Amino acid sequence: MLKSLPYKTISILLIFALALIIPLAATVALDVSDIFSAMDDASPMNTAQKIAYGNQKEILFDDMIIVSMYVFVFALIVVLYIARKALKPFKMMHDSMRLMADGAGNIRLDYASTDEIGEAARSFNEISRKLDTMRKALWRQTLISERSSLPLVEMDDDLTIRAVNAAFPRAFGYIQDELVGYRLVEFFSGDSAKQFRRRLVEGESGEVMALRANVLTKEDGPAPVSVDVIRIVDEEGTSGGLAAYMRDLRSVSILEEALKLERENSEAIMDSTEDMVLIVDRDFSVVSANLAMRVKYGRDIKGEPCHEAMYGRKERCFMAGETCTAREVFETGKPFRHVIEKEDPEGPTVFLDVLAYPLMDSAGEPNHVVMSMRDVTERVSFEDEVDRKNKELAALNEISGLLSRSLRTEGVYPQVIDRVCELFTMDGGGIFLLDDMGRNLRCDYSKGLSQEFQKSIRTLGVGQDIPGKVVSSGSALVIQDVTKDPLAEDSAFRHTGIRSFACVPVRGKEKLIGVFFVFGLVAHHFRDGDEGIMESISEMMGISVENTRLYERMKAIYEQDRQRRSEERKGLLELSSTIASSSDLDAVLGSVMEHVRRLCWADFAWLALGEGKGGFVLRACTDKSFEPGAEIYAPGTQSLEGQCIERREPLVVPAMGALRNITLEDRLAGYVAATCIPLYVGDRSLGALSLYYMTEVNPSEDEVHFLQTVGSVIGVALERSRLFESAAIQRGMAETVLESIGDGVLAVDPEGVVISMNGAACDIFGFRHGQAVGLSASEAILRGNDNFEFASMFNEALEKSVNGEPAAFDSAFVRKDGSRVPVAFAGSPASTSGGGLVGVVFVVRDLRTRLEIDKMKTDFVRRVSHEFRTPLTAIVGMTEMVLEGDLEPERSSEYLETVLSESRRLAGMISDVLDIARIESGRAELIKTELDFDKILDTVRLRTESQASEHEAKVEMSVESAIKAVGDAEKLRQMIGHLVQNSLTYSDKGVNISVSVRGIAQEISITVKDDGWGIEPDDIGSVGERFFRGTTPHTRKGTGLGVAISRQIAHMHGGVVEIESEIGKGTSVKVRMPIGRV
Amino acid sequence: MHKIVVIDDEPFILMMVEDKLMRAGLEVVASRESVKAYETVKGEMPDLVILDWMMPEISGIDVCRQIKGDPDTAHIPVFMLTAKGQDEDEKIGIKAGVAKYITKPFSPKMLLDEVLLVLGGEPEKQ
Repeated sequence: MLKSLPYKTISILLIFALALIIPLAATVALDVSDIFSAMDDASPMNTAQKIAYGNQKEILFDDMIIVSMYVFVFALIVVLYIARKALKPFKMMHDSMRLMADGAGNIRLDYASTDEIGEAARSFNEISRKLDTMRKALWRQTLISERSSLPLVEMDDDLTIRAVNAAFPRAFGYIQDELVGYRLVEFFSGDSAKQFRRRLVEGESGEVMALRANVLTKEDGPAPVSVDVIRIVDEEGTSGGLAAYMRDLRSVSILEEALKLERENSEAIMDSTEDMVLIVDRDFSVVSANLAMRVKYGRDIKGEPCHEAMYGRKERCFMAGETCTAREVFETGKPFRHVIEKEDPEGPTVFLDVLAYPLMDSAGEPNHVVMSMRDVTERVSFEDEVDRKNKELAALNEISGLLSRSLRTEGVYPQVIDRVCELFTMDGGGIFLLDDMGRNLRCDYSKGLSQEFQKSIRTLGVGQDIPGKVVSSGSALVIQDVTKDPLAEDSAFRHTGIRSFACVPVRGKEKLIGVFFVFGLVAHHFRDGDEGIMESISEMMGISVENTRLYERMKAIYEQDRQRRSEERKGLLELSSTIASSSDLDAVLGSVMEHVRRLCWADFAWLALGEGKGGFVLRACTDKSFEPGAEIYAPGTQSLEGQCIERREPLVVPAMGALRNITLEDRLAGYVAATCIPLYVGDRSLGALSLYYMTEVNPSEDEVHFLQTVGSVIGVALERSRLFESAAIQRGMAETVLESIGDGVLAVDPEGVVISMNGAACDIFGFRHGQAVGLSASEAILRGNDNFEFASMFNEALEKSVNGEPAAFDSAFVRKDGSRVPVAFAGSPASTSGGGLVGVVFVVRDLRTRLEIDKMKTDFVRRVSHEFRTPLTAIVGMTEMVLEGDLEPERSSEYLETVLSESRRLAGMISDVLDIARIESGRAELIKTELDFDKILDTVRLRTESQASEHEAKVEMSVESAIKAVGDAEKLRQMIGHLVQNSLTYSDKGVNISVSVRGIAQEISITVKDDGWGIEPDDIGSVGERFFRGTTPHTRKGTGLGVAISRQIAHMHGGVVEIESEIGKGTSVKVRMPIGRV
Repeated sequence: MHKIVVIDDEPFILMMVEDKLMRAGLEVVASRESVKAYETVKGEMPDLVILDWMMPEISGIDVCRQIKGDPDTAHIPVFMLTAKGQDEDEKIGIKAGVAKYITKPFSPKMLLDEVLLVLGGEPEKQ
């Protein structure tokens, strides 16, 4: 087609050209002829013209043909070109279809155009896709049927085989291709073929039929199969033959056979077991029951609901509130076991042990339950019995525990009775105990009885009512029903609603001590062993009651003993504390002896001190006729006390009559027995403590021990007293030393509490003696905040000292009166011999005197330098001026005189200062001789003569005759000289001076008296201070050391200086001194 | 002529100072009456006052304070003669308004130089 298409196109074109060009050329030729003719008509042409025209016409024709041919060829080329383009999709389509025909699938044309050809290409693509899908589906189906394990046959309506799948020959042993053309029934066994044909005819109208047949296999004979035949019908409903599916049933039939056998076997097994076996389905219907089951129920209960078959219940067990075995298994999917109690109206209750297993379906869900049931009635009753016995044992054990644990039976009765009631399922009970006389029973405890009834049976005589009868008979009584039993005919218990009653005697070791009883409000069948159990309980109760009574007795005895010991201890404690708290041992020892005597029930006690052979001195005793301190046994006497000290152990003499070679103090002659305890402190014997009895006594070990303890206490006290005394002496000495120390001593404990403060320290801190002891040192010191700084320094020092470091500080202490006391503080830790810190001792030095001395020294130096400067000023200044030489000669000599006198004064001052220094330093010694005052005064007169005459003074000297005294003549001369000098210095010219020496008794008085200027009353006290020269201008002449030196000299002779003076009237200085010894 | 009041209880020191100053051409009013020292100064109104510190009845420092406390006399320079050698004493003196502190023993020539220095200018010699 494609090949012919261009040709056809060319043909069409040729036809078109012929149809167009020839008529066109003809028309043009005619029209041209017409034009020639017309032209010729209008203007006739010559021949030449005509020939020309004729030629022209021919040329025109030829040209037209050529042009036409040319146009035709051009058009052809154009058409061919366009046709080639337009036909390309067709060519593609053609090629694709070819491929499809060759079996290729799903071919796509890539031509995307909106024109008709594009549309055609898309339709082609769609067709191609659908065809491909169908082809694949077909392929799959073919593959399925071909690969199917089920034999498959496609037949015509007349059963002629058109095709078989591979399974068919595989199943039946034929070759696939050789089957085609045979009829299917030819492969069936005779019967099967007939049946098949018949069914096929019958079921012609149906589309599917199923039947079973036997196929003849090529080698193994007939094989059972199931055949499903389907009619193949097309869309219009036209029959297109038949298809047969076969299922090979050979393996299934083997399985069925095996199952049948299995079922028979399992039934046989089920039947062979003695247990009842039952299979129940999900509807709780019995699917199968074994022989035992059938025998038990007398019928095959198969198909019946299990609850109905087994229990005759219309409703299901779980609806009746029972445990449904099957349901448990269906719900959990697990085996379940339990014991069912099945009441049998005709016989005893039956117990069934049911064991149920689930049977699972292919989904793993339980769809049947196999229950196997065993009659365990016997076992259960046995277990019950064991359980009951266990309970009894447990109850007995508990009761025994209760009774043995408690020593107060009253508290245990309720619990015991409770247990007994529990054990025998009783409602109450109680206990009666016999009184000591064994005549009456007293109800000790009861439970479950009305109060009124309790009162009525509180006491029962022996033989009265059931408990009384039990006591008198001595054997237990068990009554099943009180109302019916003749034994309880006259019992009070009969009318209280009590039905069952048991009463058991309670026995002690030797005798019956009571009964216990239990009762029930309903009739009770007591078992054979019950009485025995009750008797065991009663036995335990008996033992318990006896034990308790024994315990009470023991306790009372123990209590007595304890009380006695406690008294002894108390006595000992009192003794110890009396001794320990007393510093004066003598005062208490007497009462201690009395105490010991009383505690030991003795008639006489004494404390004899001594070392055995060395004899004894009485220290204390209980008899006032003895005198403490008196010798009771002379050295070398053989005494009880001496023996016990020698043996170093207590001496107990129950009867002294048996003793030989023992001397007894005369006044002890009436005593029969004695106990003697040696007193030792360490290895040192102190003496003995002895007790004497009027009757024969053998004191217990305890008593001796007690006495030994007392002895030790006294021994220690004696030793302590001795030590205390010596310590007191030492302490007194130490205190005296401490008090006599000039420095303050303050002792504090490590916490800073004052232990002691000596007098000096008290003075410094402003305490009365002993007032500060027990106070916190820093607080006592603080006193307001005046001594804040001092206290902080003190605390610091205390801390340092406690840590073992030496601590010292200087500070000032402000006293109550506000005065400041400069002190130097030095602390050092005080330790015991063991090295333990007991406190800190501070030495407090009052620095006032030292500072004063320091100040005096400074003042002295300053004064000396000042006093020296004044004469020096004259000496230096005047000398300078003289040397300058601008003074008149008279003035010069005046100046030089002054220089000389000032130099002398300076020299005098220096020697005075040296004198004073020598005297004060103690280096100056008195050269004592018998004094001749006349001579002394003569010398004085000589030394002061020139000055006195210069001063126009009148000096009188008088000495009382016959003065006999001893002293340093030179010093006294110096002293009197100074005093005369002073009188001269501090007076106007013409002064009267008198020096007199008197002797009065053992005293000498030297008086220097003048009628000079006198001393201001305020100044008198200062006279004698170094360099003091009075405060009035005209008094400033002396060195100011005269009286000071005089006073020192007087002091050296043991004398004093007394000054009397009145301004304007004069002064009298009196030195009084003892006459002295050589 | 400059007028100087000298007050000292030691007669020979007074004599010596008086001599030295007078010989230098100064007018000197010398007195041993320490109690009346202030009145003397007030009466004389000198150009300079020389006082001894250690005097009975009243100390030179107190006199100086009196002088310095009176507006009429406060301008008068005061020299202090003293045997007190300590520094703190000097401080007390300076605090009281002492112009010059002269420690005993002193050189009369040096005293004169100091006096002339305070008075300013050389006085004419006799």
